This record gives sequence, structure tokens and C-alpha cells, in this order.
Amino acid sequence: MSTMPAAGEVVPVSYREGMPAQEQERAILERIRAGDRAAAETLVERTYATVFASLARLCGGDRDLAADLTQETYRKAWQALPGFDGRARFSTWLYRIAYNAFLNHARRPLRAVPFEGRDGPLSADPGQSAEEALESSEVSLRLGRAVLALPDDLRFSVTARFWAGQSVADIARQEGVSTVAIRKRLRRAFTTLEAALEGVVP
Amino acid sequence: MKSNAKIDVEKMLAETPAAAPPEDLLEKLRAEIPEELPKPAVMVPAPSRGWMKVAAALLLAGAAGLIGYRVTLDSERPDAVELPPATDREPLTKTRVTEGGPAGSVVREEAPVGKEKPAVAKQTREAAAKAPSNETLSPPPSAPAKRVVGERAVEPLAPVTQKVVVTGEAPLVELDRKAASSSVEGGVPGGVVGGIAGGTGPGFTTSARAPIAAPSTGGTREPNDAPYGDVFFKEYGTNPFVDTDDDRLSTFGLDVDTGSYTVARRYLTDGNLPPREAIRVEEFVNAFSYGDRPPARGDFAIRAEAAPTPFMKGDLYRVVRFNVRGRVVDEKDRKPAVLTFVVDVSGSMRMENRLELVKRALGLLLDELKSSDRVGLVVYGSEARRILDPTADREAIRDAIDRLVPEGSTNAEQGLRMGYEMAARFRSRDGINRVVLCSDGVANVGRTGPASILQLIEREARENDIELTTVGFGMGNYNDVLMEQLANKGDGRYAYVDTLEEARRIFVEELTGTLQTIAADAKIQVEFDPSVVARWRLIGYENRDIADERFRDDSVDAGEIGAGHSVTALYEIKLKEDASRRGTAATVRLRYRSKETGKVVELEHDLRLSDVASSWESAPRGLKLATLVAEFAEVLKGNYWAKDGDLAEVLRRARRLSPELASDERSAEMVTLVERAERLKRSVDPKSREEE
Repeated sequence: MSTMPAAGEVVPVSYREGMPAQEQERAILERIRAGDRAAAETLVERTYATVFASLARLCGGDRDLAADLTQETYRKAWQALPGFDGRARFSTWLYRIAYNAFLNHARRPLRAVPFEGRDGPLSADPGQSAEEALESSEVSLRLGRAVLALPDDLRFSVTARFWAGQSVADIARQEGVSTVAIRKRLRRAFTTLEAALEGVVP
Repeated sequence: MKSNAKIDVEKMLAETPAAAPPEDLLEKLRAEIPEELPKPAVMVPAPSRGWMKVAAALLLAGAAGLIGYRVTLDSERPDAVELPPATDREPLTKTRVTEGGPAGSVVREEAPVGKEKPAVAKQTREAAAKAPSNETLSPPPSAPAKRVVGERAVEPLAPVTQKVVVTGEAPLVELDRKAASSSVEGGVPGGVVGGIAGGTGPGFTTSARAPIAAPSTGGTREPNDAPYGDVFFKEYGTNPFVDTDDDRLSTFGLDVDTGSYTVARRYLTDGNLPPREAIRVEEFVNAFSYGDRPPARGDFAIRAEAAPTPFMKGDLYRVVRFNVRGRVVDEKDRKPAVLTFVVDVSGSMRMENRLELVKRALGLLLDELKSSDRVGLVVYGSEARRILDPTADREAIRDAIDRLVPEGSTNAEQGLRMGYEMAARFRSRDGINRVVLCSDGVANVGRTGPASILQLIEREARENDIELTTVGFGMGNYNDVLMEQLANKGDGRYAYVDTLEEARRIFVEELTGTLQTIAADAKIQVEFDPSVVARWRLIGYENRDIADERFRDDSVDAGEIGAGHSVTALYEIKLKEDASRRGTAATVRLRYRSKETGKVVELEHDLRLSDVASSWESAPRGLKLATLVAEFAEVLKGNYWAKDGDLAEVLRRARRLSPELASDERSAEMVTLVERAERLKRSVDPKSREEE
């Protein structure tokens, strides 16, 4: 999703508009390797909105929690960066860390329990009309809950694909399974989600 | 109302509104960029799991002109060599091939191997004492194997007359006294007698029936304090420290099981400390991946590394990690498999939704199978039933799985028999034949009890090449001993599944990735140089002990290794004070029968002193992680050697290491588990644990 530089962002010289996102990432990481702080800031700026947005969805719209977990994610990511092997894209790898941070949080009470979506509407797009927002919040709420109730492997695949905007190939690489398996998981997830949404969507 | 318009979930998901981050978040994140920027690893896209690893390996091999990764090891290629990544600076792994007979034949000790072979037999004290001077003189890199070899004191098949001296104070391991059911037999290698810890394996035997009949329930707890009823584990003791002058050889069968770790995780997650018999340290260690790379050529890459250990007092102690990594078989080159699932649908499988977990796990597996693979299904409750003959029809399989419901009591014996019958009938001659038992391990109905099941699967493994994987589910009423023993006898593996995530790991990554067995009866022998190493201790592998003399006896049933498998063995060693800084500290030998050629192959690899890290901090990450995992397991187990061990210390070090591993789910999870165990251990009155 927001893998391209946002408007007004200072774009470091080593990557250009139109360069594939992955190469841009690589260029930035190369510069971080060389000790360039500005590159590190760029990396954060480019990625944090997506990380936050995906965590906010995982947290059922709890923005404070999502912000905490975003910080947690970056703390871990900085420490883990020496181990990043470039197998998957950086942003996919980062989402795995964010997702783990969320899982860790959700697991904190002694027992692993199935995830239930929280109450409370997901924050809607400020550009929507009140009516649209109302309708979409009802649907998003239901959809969000259904996603959270998916089995873990399906949930990771779906959220990585749609909430964090990662490609199927990158998710497969990150998870060490075939793209076919990811596609199958997505299809299975769709079936479950469709069932969960029946009656809500006109 | 069901509308005709199909709900476009995909579109909706893609259009889920994105919450905008709080305004101050970016500032906070910027402020948290570390002072010293971390250095990302070199950005080579290197897929490193499953068949993707293979793809990369193949590309690399192809590029290097090494096409044909399936290297045939025969005598024309006596030095088939695996080339570890250049950066690893590993010495070459030598390959030797013994014209191997089928299991049962006595190995020709001398033939192609010749005088280069170190003694098979136990070194006598004199021989051991004689050796050092020669060894230090010989230049290690060019002639790693040119050793003066002690005379063979014992015939290859002579009865075990192992002489092992337990050094140091007699370890006071508070063993489960109820282990009275175990009979200690002659030739106990530093055996466990009345609370004196030492040996293991063959010396500490219990009849196959005993663990079932007289289980040490819960072990370290009073029965009414036990978190789960009727959970059966077995204590195998703890390996002793051995003086290298007395015994320079350490021999054991490889073990790729991971069940013990997951079982312990289940306990901890539920807020209980696992009983010590539930801990098999090597299964903890092998539950983690240490980033060891598969060989570019040949069947195995062997790796040896060492560093000072933070867990032993005195600066002469080192922890050594040996890793054996099997070659990866590309998914498309994998032989077609016939998988016969034997699923326990007994009433106990209703508990905790076990059967549902099994069904979901099977569903995950189906996604990963090739279209040429066939799946059959047998279930057993009070009686066994054939549900589905092996078929490649995915829909039929999925339907059959969906329809499974819990019923009746547990006739595991009949279930396994029927499963094996099916597997034998639909056996694919050139393919992979595997029975997968999914159960909580309880066998309470059946004519003859577990001993006869063990015989059956041992025979099938030998005669029909049908392998067995046991996957344990559930905890109350769970039988760890049976599940582990079954897999052990059936040339298979044992894993335990407590969550769907674990199911994914086992069924998707492990089972499909390692479906094709590449090596049978894999044994390891490590030879320590007495001029360098004063004493050594093998960490874990207590129930895999093999007499040193039988290392080259290819009829010994040892470990099976699947494609891509990675097996780690850890040692603690104490260096001699005046040991030189150069030369070789130890040589590890791996002996196995190649599944492909049927030949017996022996590889060896040196741990050179120049490869020993000078400090813990500078130790390789894999070594650090493995050491922490082992220490965690040993402290949980209450092993004598970890008696001063402190989970708080493990936790502190794991936390420091864990960030480097944050993207690896399992390593991140370990920190949580250590945390939990540490808290639980503190909350348990320390006295009450000791008194038991």
C-alpha cells in the first residue's frame, strides 16, 4: 500500500521515482548499513503509517494500543535488523514483527485464546460522508471481527495481504511456504469471511 | 437474506479504511532510532525455508557448474565434499563410503576405510595417552585423519564393556524415586542409580511395557498437584562429564524429534512447570533453527563451532555445537508420497477440541501436497475403520476429514495395524511411504499392548520401508513415552502439536519439507583430542546412546533424517590448561545409510581450535541461541550440571539475543516461555520442589 514515498517526503538521492519499491528499500538499507541516519528516518517515515494502520486493524481500532505496538515493532525491528536476510521484502518482514508483537500482546494473559474482535468502530476514512461512514463502519466492524476470528495462518496471510499491502509472493517468502499455499489460504479465508458477512452486506 | 450478488470480500478487505497514525507517533519513532545504527545483513534475496531453499541452492549450484545436486556417493568420488558458504571458513567435510550391506550385515571395518580410521573400539588408557604427542605434531589441515589409533580392545560386536568415569562430585540429581520400575542393567555408562546421575540409554532400560504400566505420573509433583491427569513421561537420566583420558569417544543416534519442547510449552502456557521427565534437552535444542545452511553438494553439511560458555564457572569451559544439515530436495523432485493417516477419534480426542485441531492440521497439509501425492485415512475409536484408501482426489480427502467425529474408546493397536496394512497394500515402490499417527497417545484397548505395536512398526519399517510419524495432540491423559517410542521404532519422527501455529510448523514446514528421508540409521561419533580436551559432556540425547564399539555396526537402529532436516548436538567441554591454541579439539563423524544408493557413508569434520570463539559475545548467533535453549531445558529439568543455573540469567541473555531473532517466531516465543517459567519457578516454594 503505502510503499511509495508519501507526498512531501524527502526522497534520498539513491533511489528514484519509478524505481521498484524493493530496490528502493534495498538502497535505503544499504545506506543504513553505511551509518546514514537520514536513511533510517526515511525508512521509518515510509513504513510507519502502514505498520500503524495494520496494527490498528488487528487491535480492533484501538489506536492507543496500535501506537504502542508500533513503537514496540520498531524497537524490535532495529534490534533485529542485523538478522534481516532479504529473503522477503523489508516491509513484509516488518509486518511479521508487527504481527508477532500483536500476537504477543494478545497472548499475554496466560492462555492463548481465540481472538475476538473488539467492540468499537474502526476509524473511518475522514473523506467519507457521514452516511457512508456509518454503513462502512458497520461492515468493517463485522469484517474486522471475522478476520480476527480466522485461524492464525489464514489470519496472517489475509492481514499481510490486505491490511499491510504485501504481495502474495513476499508473504510466501516470509513464511517459507509456496505462493500456491498462500493463495489457497486466501481463498479459504474469503469463503469463511463471506459466510460471516452474509446478511450484513446488501 | 442471501443476496444473489456475491459478496466481494477481497474488494472489501482491500478497501478497509486505514486509520491514520497519531500525530506524535512519527516523532516518537524517530527518537527511538538507535544511536548506533544496526547493520542489515547483505541483501541477497536468499529464500531460506522449505523448497525455496532448494531453488536457491539449485541456482547457486547450477551457477557454479555443480549441476546435479543429487550427488551419487560412490567409490569413484571418494572425496565428495560439501562446500559450506565461503564466509564460514569451515574445513572440508570428508566423505568416505563403505560398501554398505543392508542392515544386519557386519561392517567391514578395514576395507575402504583403512588405517586412517580412528579406533572404533574404546581406547585404552595407554593408547589414549600415547596419541596426543603424535596428534599435536601432525599438521591438522592437510591430514586431519592421520591419527595414531589405539588398538582395538574390543571386537565390534562384543558386549558393552564401557568404562566411563564420572568425574567431579557425584551429581545429586533428585530423580524420581518412583523410577524403581526401571531396571538398571550391567554396563551402565555412569548410570543413574539411586540418585546418582550419569548415564543413560542402554544401561537404563525399562521394558517397553513398563512406562505404560508403571508410569511416573507427573514426576516431580504429587499426583493431586499434577496439572493434567495421567500424563506419561519417562526419565532417562542425565549424561555425565567424562574424562577424555578415559573415554575420548561419544556416540549416539541422531534425533530429529521436537515433541518435548512443544509439550513443555503447553505446560508453561497453561501456567504449570513441566515435570522433569517431560524434558528431553536435545528435542528443545532441535526445535529451533540456527540458520545452518544445507550442503551445496552431497547429503549433509556438517558444522562445528564453539565458544566460552557463560553457564559454567571457570574459563576453561567451552560449549560446542555440532550441526548436521541434510540436503534439501526440491519439491518438484520429491518422490511422490503415499501418506496414510491414522487418526485417533476416540472420546478423549473430544477434549480440548483435539480432533478439530487434527482436522485443521490435515487441511493445512493438503494445501502443500503435490498432485501426485496420495492420502489415505484410517480412524480408530473402539474399533478401527478404513475411511479412505489412498487417493489423490483432494475433494474426497477433504470431505473425509471434515466428517471425522470423536467416538468410543481407544484401540490404537488396531488403528495402527489397519494403517500399516493400508500403507503396505498401496505401497509405492519408488515413492515415499509414511504412516502418520495423530493421537493423544493413549492406547487403552487392544489385545497385546504397546509392545506388540512396537514390534509391528519395527518390522514394517524394516521390511516394507514404511516410515512412521507420530504427532501428539492434547495433554490430559497424554502419553509422551508411547508416542516417542513409536516414532523411534518406526524410523520416524515425533512431534507434538498444541496450537494451530504448531500444526502449521509440523504439517506444512516439517512434514512436507522433510518428507523424503535421505539418511537412515544416522549415528554420530565425536572424538575428542585428549591433549586438548580434559573432559566432555554430551547435552541431552540420553535415550539415544549407542556403544562406541557399535558406531560402525550398521545394524544398529539409529536416527532417520529427512531432506532439509537440521540436527544439532551440544557438548560442554573443559579444555586442558596447557592445551595449544592450534590444531583440532574434536572430530565429528556422521555415519548413515544413504536412502538413495543404499550405501553406508561416513563423513567427518574437525572442530579446530582456531574456530573456537574467544568470547561469548563474539560467538556465532546460532551457538548462542542453542546454548540458551539447552540451558533453559536443563534448568527446567533440574539437571545436576545446571544446578547453579538460573532462569533469570537465561532470560537476561535471551532478551539480549532475541531482538536479533525477532522475526523468527519461535525464538521470540522462547523469551516469553523463559519469562513464564522463571515466574512460575519463583512462585513455587523452592523447598516443595526439592522435597519431592
